[in-house]
Amino acid sequence: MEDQIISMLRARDEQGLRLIRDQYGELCRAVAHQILGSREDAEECVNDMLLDVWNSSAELEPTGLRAYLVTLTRRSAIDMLRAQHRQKRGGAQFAAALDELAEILPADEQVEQQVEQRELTAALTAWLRSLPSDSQRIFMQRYYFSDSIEAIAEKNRMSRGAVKMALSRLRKKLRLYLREEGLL
Amino acid sequence: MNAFEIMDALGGVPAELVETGLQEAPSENAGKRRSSPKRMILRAASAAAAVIAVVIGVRYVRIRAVAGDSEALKVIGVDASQFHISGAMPYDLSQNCEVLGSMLHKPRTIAYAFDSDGNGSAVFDSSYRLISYSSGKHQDTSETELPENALMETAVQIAQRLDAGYQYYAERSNPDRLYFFFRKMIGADAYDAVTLLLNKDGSVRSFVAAYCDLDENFSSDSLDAKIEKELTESVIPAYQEKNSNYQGYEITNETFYFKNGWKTYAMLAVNFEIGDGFHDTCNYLIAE
Repeated sequence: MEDQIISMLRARDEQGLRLIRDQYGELCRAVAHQILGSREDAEECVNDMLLDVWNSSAELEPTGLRAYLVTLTRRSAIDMLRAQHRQKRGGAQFAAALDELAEILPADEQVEQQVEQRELTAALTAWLRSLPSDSQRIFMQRYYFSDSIEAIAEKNRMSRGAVKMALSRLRKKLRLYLREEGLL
Repeated sequence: MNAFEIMDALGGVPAELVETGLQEAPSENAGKRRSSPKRMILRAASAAAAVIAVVIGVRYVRIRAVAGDSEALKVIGVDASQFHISGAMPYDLSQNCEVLGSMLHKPRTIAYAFDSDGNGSAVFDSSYRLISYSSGKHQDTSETELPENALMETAVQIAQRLDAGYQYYAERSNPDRLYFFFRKMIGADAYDAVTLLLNKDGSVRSFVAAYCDLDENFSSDSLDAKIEKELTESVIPAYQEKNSNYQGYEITNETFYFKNGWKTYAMLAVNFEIGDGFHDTCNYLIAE
């Protein structure tokens, strides 16, 4: 199915987008909803994702489409959440003003931020890969997919207490790791 | 750095890690963890803990269940002569409301814990130092593998009398020994638990009754530091000494903290890597 969708998107066939919505729409909506807590916002993120994937169809990898779609949706949801937080702090005009000011930031500063984020991503990737699969799964479910403790407990056949404990340990481990890496 | 930045950065992790988060735990783990005797023990009894006395001889069962208070577990009515074990049973341990246990030739033992597979065990002295442990290399038996014999009948009788669920395991290294776990739900999320290690002839090798409150939200840097210290200075060297193919260890997600009276404990489940992808899980009790 993934191959078929990718071929369609590369051929600029909009049927590919419909297939994505049918196959992965629910998953992506759930991911966004976990972050935003709003069905409408989640739907908007799915639409953003579809637009993103349409615009980047030439660069699509032949494998890992589902994860890619989830990543795009999540990114969109976090951007939206960040904007909402800014609005909460200072109102819509403050948020808009911040966005406008961001445009005049020197390019090298933005590059620096991007480099820092890439370093952080690389560090997180290495750290996650060093974990046993159980821990990887629990961490990703909580901090990537924002799953509830109950949902994680159910998925992993653990008690809520065990999940909380595992997450607490993982956070401590991560803090230590990021400090060692000079990122904290 | 703030939480948003970490969240953002997580968005860039490779697809295989994203896929990991979309998975559920393998189904073969199901049930086993849920029914882990350790969990039963750790969840044993909160406010309205029943007091259970168990006396077992060959084909002889006498059980008394008496309502007790929440401050102590008292094992009563036990006639030590009924147990085919040597050494005094530490009945007076209820005074300090600790995890209670006993084991053959270990009269000073006060805690007895099982690993996450429900088989390995660790024994601790009154200072909570590890005395001994047996690894979790035991066979988890299915019901059909055990003969219908008097011992099974005994187990069923105990379960019926306690109105409790039960499980049993055979010890792989010594199939003539059977672990029996009896648990009784006494609250929405609380159990009384009695564990017996029986020889196949029905004699009792050891037993443990447990009473403690599981603290799901506990976190303590000082206890964590103590755990690290115990691991590096005591547990790991002891394990390495007995297992030449030791390759590493990891504290598992089956680790719990719980409070008993004013003390906090960590029931540590440690996975030892011992080669060929084989893991050996052991439990350790560490007090704050």
